[in-house]
Amino acid sequence: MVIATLGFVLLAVQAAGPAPEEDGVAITGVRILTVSHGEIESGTILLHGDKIAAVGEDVKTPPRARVIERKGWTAFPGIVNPLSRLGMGDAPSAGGGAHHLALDEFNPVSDAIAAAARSGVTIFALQPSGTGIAGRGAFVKPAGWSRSQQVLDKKSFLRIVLQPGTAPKEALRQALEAAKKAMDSDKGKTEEKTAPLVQFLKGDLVGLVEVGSPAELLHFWQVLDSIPDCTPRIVLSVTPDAYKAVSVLGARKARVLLRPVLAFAPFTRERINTAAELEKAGVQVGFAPGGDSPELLDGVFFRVAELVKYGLPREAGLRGLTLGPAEMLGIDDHCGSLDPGKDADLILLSADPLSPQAQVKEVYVNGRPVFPGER
Amino acid sequence: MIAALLLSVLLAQTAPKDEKKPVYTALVGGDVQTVTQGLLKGGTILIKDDKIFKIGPALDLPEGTVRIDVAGKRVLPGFIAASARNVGLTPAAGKIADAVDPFSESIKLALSGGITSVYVEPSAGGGGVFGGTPPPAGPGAVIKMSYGSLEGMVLAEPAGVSLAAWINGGPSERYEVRENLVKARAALEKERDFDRRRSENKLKPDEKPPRATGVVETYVRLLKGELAARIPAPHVDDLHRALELINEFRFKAVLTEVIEGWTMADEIGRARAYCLVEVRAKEHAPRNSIRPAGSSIEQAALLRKAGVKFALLPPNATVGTGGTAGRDLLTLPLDGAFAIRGGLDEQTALEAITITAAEICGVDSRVGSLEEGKDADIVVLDGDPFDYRTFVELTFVNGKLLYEKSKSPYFSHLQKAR
Repeated sequence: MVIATLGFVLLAVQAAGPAPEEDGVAITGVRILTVSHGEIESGTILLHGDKIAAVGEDVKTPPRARVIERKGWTAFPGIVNPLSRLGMGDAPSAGGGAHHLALDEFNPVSDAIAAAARSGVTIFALQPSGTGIAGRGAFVKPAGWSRSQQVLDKKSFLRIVLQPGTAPKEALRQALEAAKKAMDSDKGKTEEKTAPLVQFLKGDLVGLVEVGSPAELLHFWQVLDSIPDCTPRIVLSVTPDAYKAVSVLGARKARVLLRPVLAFAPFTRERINTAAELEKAGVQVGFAPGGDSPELLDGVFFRVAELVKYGLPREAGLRGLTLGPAEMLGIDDHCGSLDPGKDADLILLSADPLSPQAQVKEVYVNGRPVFPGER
Repeated sequence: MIAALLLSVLLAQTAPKDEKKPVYTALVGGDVQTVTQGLLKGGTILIKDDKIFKIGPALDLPEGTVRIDVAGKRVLPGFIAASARNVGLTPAAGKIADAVDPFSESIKLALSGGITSVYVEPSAGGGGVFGGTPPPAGPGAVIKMSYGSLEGMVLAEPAGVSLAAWINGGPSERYEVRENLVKARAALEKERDFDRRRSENKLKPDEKPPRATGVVETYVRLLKGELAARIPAPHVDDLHRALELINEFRFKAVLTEVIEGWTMADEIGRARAYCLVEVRAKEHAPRNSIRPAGSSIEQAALLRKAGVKFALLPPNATVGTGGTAGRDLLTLPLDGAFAIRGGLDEQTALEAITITAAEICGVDSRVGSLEEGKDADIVVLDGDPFDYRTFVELTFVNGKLLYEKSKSPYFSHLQKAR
């Protein structure tokens, strides 16, 4: 009797949580959209710790791995939301500076984080508030309840919001000129307000530049081109009417983030597929859901499907949700595709992601199920 | 063979990288109305990059020239609106150069009307088609309708300064205008004195050139003739008041919204003031008027007779698809036609929407006529410019073809009937 009870307790311990002797998780029998190297009709994804260990048709499952069979489902990398204010308050409209940090506005125990995880977005690029040189952004994942679990280490970007008019342009020009001077003077120590700008001019810190109209794109380049001998890495957040600037965006081989919506030609009801036009012109396109509400995040597949319906290549559509923005923002060593060595962030859908029937069934972040949750 | 290949590779490498090959475009066989140098029937205009390279009866075209056959069409300089509102700008504070929107739909519309340059003032916000126009927030500028390109869009800034306060303001505002002009005159005198002493090497050690700031600086430029004053002067009393200031300070002045100029054309002529004439503006003389008053369709012709230079404008200097069709900048040549109806000769009417408008804006060395070396801002019309049936077929700005009627949505619905 005593022995039997002991046995029961042991069994119970084994069932709760991952057993110490478990050797990874193998998701088998799924259709895999790797994004980086095509589709696998039926294959296995092996997760080890918080990383992807293997992806393929005949991946050998280690004997002690937990096997999860998901026949008929589709595996897809987690979506990247490149323009997010998840867990942050309402943005004050003015102020900012390169020393401002998005993380200082971030609440790691916000309810919005758990809600956002259900939609299939596994990484959020947090935007600091403010205008002009607004501040430095951060990347968080819907994993755990503390910053140390959520924040992607050592990754950041510089957010710049250019507003129309002489004063904002002049302020940006002066800030960049000061940074250029600091860069050239080689004094070693630059103050905290300038150092990120120097990194930006060198191309070591991605600049995420938000412009309110195609015209502001030209005004931004006018300022940037006036700073000689710098090699910034720019990602542009543009409006749906960016098709107007398609030739110049193409000529500059721009990296562009935009909402996955169709635009309308002026004076007509003719639809313009901005993403498709940009893609055709050689522009790298990434999609921003336009916010962090469940409606916007859940609807993003559907909207991209609409763009594909109206001429955007399917591959570009899927890439624009994942690897595209990840590459632009310099986090593709962590996420964006289903490849060994990357973080084990992925989602399982009941059907192809662009099908209207597709439901997000399971979401994994850092190798752990965050939706529906540990069972 | 291999040697030749190698040689070509070498040549390609040694050729300087940033030296771009010129782009040639030729408009062949049209009736070229140069405005300043007469009419050339069946002529050719050769455009090199953004400039007019050659005009002649038959030109040898360089290899690779893009040839556009315009036989039977009229070729003219792009039309210039000496005043425009809500064209090509975003409502941004500051300089016009920082507020221009090269992707504005208003630019496309202006191009469809053959307009290639406009004079605009920074908006202070407010005011609409039926509301009054608020005073501008700063000096005006001339911008080109260079759709899609910021480069080369701003032709001149500052190009003009509004002295509306002199007419519309109260006594204290009027006092301020005059006072600032007096200050500017003194500042200019100081500047000239400095230059004189510098040329004679009589400057004190470390003496810096005098520098006016703010409004006074703008007025100094006005007195130097670098820009023009814009003074709204519809009626006789306004005109008298404006001429008083012009005659005292002798600056380049543009009288705007002129209605009763025809009643005192000689005095305007003696002051060498320019006029902006809205031919179709209508205003009845007061019933008990003891002098000539109100509007006259003959105004342009009478001003011409007195030697006054003027530009023609529609009653509503905007472009749009709103409720003012036929009364806005989309049909600027028709305002020339109305002036001709009032007795003006066709040549002057043409000048009033091209070269004189350019002169008023201070940009006539660049635009306003078809001459070798000038900017390639050109329109091709399918008939006489002053015929109401005529449409703009092609519009070039800075040598770039930016409007083609056959490819634009604006008038495509009219093509089947023609």
